[in-house]
Formats: sequence, structure tokens, C-alpha cells
Amino acid sequence: MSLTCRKVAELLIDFADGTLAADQRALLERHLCGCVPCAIYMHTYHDTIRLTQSLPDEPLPPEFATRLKSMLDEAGSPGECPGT
Amino acid sequence: MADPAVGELTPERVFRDYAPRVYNLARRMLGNDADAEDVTQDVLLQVVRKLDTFRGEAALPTWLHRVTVNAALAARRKRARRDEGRVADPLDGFTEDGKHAGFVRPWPRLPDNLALDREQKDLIEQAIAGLPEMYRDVFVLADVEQLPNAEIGDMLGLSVPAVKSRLHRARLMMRDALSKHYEERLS
Repeated sequence: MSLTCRKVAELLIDFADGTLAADQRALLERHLCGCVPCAIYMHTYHDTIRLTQSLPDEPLPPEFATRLKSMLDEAGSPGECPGT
Repeated sequence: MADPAVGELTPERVFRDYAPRVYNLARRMLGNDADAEDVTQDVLLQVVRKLDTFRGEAALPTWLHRVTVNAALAARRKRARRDEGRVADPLDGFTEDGKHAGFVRPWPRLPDNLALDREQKDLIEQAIAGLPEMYRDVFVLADVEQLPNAEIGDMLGLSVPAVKSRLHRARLMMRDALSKHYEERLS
């Protein structure tokens, strides 16, 4: 039994998170050894995950940061009556 | 949203430690700065008004994720934007007998210590913003926020297999979107 390239693409998430059953994993690895496009596809799938996980948080826009800080200070001040 | 040593919470600390995280999660889910600002403001005001409840509360980051996701989903319903189906299904890129329909080109090797430049950050953010919403939510929570699939399922009312299915589609769409750029960098 062998896998098609499409089936390989469908299994990549389980392969990446280590939940692919052993027999499926063996079939997938065998396919990857003989199929250059799928090997590239798998590498770029992993690279996509790595790139996304490296995405830093952007700072707040300065004007919004100023407005938000002042709003939070006011909401947290002792004289504040919630809901008023 | 990892927990930065929870201690005495003040409005100043809420702003410093949590505002960028809430803002970025909302921005990536909504794909819109103005809506993200509204959500950030609503969520953080809720926190500051309930500071007594949260003092010493280690579960604040988890609570913040949940409230931010709910607020973003509500903002989206309000906006009633429908953009599903705008992106091609990556699994259509195969022939009827299951082979790749076109060339699959390699990308340049990524360095071990990956530090994204401005161009790469913008490219990834644009690709995320281009995902259909049902895939974008799961993708942002799983691959950007790096939350467990079960937690994402609880937040979005999805089973774990449904989370994985959407995450996988989203990754394939992201791969296709990023390929245009990274293949060019190699050629």
C-alpha cells in the first residue's frame, strides 16, 4: 500500500504533532524518501509553523496606548463608582 | 499569553503586561486595528474594574484569552463581515490521482535563531489577515498564541478533531501564501 501526494498533505498535521499512527508514519516516511515535491512540501509546512511562532507582538499604536492608559488609570482610581 | 509572575495587580501593570497581548490577539483575529482597539479597551476595562477579584489570581491569562476571544467574536458578529471562501482550498492543488498539480519549489533555509525582519513580519501578518475567519481564529490561537487544541476547542465550541482540521487547512493556506514570497527569495 502506498500514499498519494494529496494523502501525504492531509497527514502532515498528525506527522508534525507526533500523533500519526506508526503504520501511517512508516508509509508517509517511505513516500517522502521517494518524492521530492512532497519532501519540499513538508519542509515548507514546518517552516510555516516556525515562522508564525516567531511572530512577535506589535506595540500598541502610540495614540491608542496613551488613551488606554489614561482610561485604565481612571477606571482603577479609588473614587471610581463601577457602572457610573 | 504566558503568565508574567502574578502579584499585585494595578492598572499600570494591567496596561504594561497585558495590553499588547490582548491587542495583538484581537488584531490578528479581526484583521482590523480599529476593532482591535475597541476590544482591547473593553477587555482591559473589565479587568481593571474587577481588580479586587483578580488580585493574586494566577488564572488571569487564561481568563483574558477567553474574554478576548469572546469579545473579538462579538465584534465580528456586529460587523457581520463574510469573507469565507475568499482563499482557494490548498488541497485543490492536487490532480485527480492525488499528485501535486504544479511545481513545488523549495524555500531558502531558515536560520536556527529566527528573527523576522519588518518585511517578513508584514508578510505573515497579511497572510493571517487573508485567512477565512473560521480558519484564522484557530490558527491564531494555535500557532501564534500556542494554546493547546483542547483549550481552543473549549473557547470556540469545537471538538478537538475540528480544531485540528481547521488548523491544518489554515497552515496549508498560510504555506501557499508565504510560498510566493519565499520561493522568489531563493530564485
